[in-house]
Amino acid sequence: MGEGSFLITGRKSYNTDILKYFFDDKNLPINFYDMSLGLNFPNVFPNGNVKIFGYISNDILNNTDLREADFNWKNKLIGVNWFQLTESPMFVEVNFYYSKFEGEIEPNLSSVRPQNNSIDDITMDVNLRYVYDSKDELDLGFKLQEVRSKLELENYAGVKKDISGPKGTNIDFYIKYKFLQNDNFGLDLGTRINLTRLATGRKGSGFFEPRLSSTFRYKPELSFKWSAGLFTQEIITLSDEDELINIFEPWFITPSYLPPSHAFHVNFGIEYKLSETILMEAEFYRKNIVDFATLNDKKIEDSDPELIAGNGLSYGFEYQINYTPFPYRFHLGYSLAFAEKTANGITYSPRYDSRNAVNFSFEYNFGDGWYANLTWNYYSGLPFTQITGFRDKWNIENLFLTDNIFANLSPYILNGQRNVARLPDYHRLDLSVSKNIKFGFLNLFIDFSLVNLYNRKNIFYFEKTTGKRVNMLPFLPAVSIKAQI
Amino acid sequence: MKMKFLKYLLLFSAFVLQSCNDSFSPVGEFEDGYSMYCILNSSEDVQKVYIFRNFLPDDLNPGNYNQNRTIGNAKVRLSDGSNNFIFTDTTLFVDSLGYNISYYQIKNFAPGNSLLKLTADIPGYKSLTGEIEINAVDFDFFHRTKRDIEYNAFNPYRVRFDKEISFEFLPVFLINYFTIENGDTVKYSKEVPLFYYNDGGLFLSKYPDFETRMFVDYETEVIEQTFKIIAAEHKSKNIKILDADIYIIQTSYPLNIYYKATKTARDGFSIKLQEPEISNITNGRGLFGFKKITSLKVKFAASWGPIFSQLGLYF
Repeated sequence: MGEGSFLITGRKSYNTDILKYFFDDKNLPINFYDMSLGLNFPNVFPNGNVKIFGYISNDILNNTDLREADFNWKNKLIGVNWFQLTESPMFVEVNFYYSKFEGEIEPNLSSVRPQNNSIDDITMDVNLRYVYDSKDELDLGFKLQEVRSKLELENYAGVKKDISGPKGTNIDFYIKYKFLQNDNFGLDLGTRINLTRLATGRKGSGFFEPRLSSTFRYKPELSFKWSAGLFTQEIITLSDEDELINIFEPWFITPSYLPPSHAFHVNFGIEYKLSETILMEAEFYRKNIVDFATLNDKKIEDSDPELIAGNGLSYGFEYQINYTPFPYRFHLGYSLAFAEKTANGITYSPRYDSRNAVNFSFEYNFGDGWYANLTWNYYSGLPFTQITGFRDKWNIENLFLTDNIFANLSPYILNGQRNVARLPDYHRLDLSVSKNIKFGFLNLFIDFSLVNLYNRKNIFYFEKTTGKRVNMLPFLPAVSIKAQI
Repeated sequence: MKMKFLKYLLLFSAFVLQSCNDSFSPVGEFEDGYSMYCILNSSEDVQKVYIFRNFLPDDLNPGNYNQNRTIGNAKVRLSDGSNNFIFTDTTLFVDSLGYNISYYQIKNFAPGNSLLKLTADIPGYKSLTGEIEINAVDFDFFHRTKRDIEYNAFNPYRVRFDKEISFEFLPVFLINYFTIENGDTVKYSKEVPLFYYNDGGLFLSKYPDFETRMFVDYETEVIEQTFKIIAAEHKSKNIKILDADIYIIQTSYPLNIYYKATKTARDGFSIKLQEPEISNITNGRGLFGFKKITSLKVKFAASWGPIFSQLGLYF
């Protein structure tokens, strides 16, 4: 196949004992591996490029305490990308890939329910771009996608049932025309046309997804951008909002009794170049979501749906500034976000409603292959529902036996107002120093990093039944060596 | 100079940020409240009321919390609008718990009206109250329902009443039988479902639920399938089929929904860990309900003989 290049990366945790030194002599029950592959064939076709990519990973959280649940996540991906430039001039890009996600909860003796989740996705998409003499562009494309989801739950009798939507096929086209002939004004007009959907609920709706975006350059250093569009989400994830912190969130196709969720996005942004080395960007956004799939917390009858449609709203502001005087690079980003969800007549902050986020990074190029990087990330605390106590609940499973209440009592968690409390803020400072060394055909990257420099105890999850808190990575020095041939 | 400044800035930042590790408590303000339970049973002489206090174990593990949560010394009364019926404060040692529990009881309670109000005055706390309406239907079983159950492939066994009215009830159809095990006679009962079905290779049963109806049908093939299951569960044993019990359970609202939600949480499939909270107790939680169970004993007719012979069962 002629000349080419490849990149293989892999990691595997084989012994977590060393983490005992950083966890007050407790072992972290995490085990993982991942591996990625990239093959690049630039000369297979004239003016064309073919890439083959693959990825596998496995993350295991295997608690030694039987009162705690074990978790297992697996990912697989393999695909081909073919990019071709024709003489027209037209760009053609073809992607074909297969991916699989698997997740499993083994409850052991905990109160967590067993779940088995998987998503199989086979997708092929073809994208064409024609460039006119006027610089205008026409984008056309289509996608064929088949997704099979499984979400198997188990009841108290040990019977299993798949509650996810059935296998779905998505065939869609898109067309977009870009008016680019004017240097100071650009306009993109387009729509996605869904011929079939993965989620089969409310057939006949959501056929068109129109989208519009535009840029106006007022001065060479100042431009304004805005966009609006309709977006559909058919594969959803959700979790019990009354759970304290949920680290297992299954993915599945929206079941057929619910319409897929739609969101209307509106954005407005400003880009301002203060100098050759300073660039500022700001953006305001608002998203209205309808038919937002939500767990039905008023499920009485077995025939009642597991999910119901709710509504959502999010809006906010994002700002970033980049200052890049060589050999330094500074980046500062800030976002202020608000989100709310309404379902079953209750409006609350959804689980991922982090109000403030700050990202800061500083890079320094010492020269001679030496680099230093300092990053600090901050996210204000996520919402959660506090426990306000327990009560004895009478489980009336047999209406004949209502005389001996004590044989059928179980603790029922009393929850505070939904998602009103906030978890502690997340923040972390990482420092890394790296050196690039060349040995003939071998390119070595040696990286020394200090993760969580000031040993911030960021919470990872909390086990309700044992009251155990598990934090994310503590202060951890790490060395990595990458070799490129 | 620049590097020195950066070094000190880094150290200072690390020191400042290290000192702001905030603690996290999953526990909010304790909801100090009570749950009251009472299910009046029309076929019992003694009616009971239980009151429990909410609790909060230090380690958030309710399984480790073994302290008495029942509440004594409350004044509990039931009113039918005309009369107040006072419950007696009672204490009982429960072996399985290892301590004395409190509850309240009343004997020979006979309300004069259908609207009942239960009140519990807890010292130092608000009064817990619950209201229900008892409107159970009085009926007799239809004469054909009382006859022996025939083996009839074309007609189901119909549980029907002398009144042609629709009302909400839960039917239960139990087959009573016994086996001889190690010389001892062991009695069993097996519930007949409405139907059996195959769900992805799993052989499951669908039992009836609370529903408003005039009658309920049990198909002969479902009864026959239940006999097959009985025979399979007690292979190589002498199985004697005694008779069947038909129960019609009527409850007040919201006991019917409470029962359904509990059943769904147990038998159903949900990501949610807890079933919805259903309560009709004001100033607290719990349930005040009423149940009436009407029963009928029927026998299996001789027409089941060939089926029983095939399965190794006998009358």
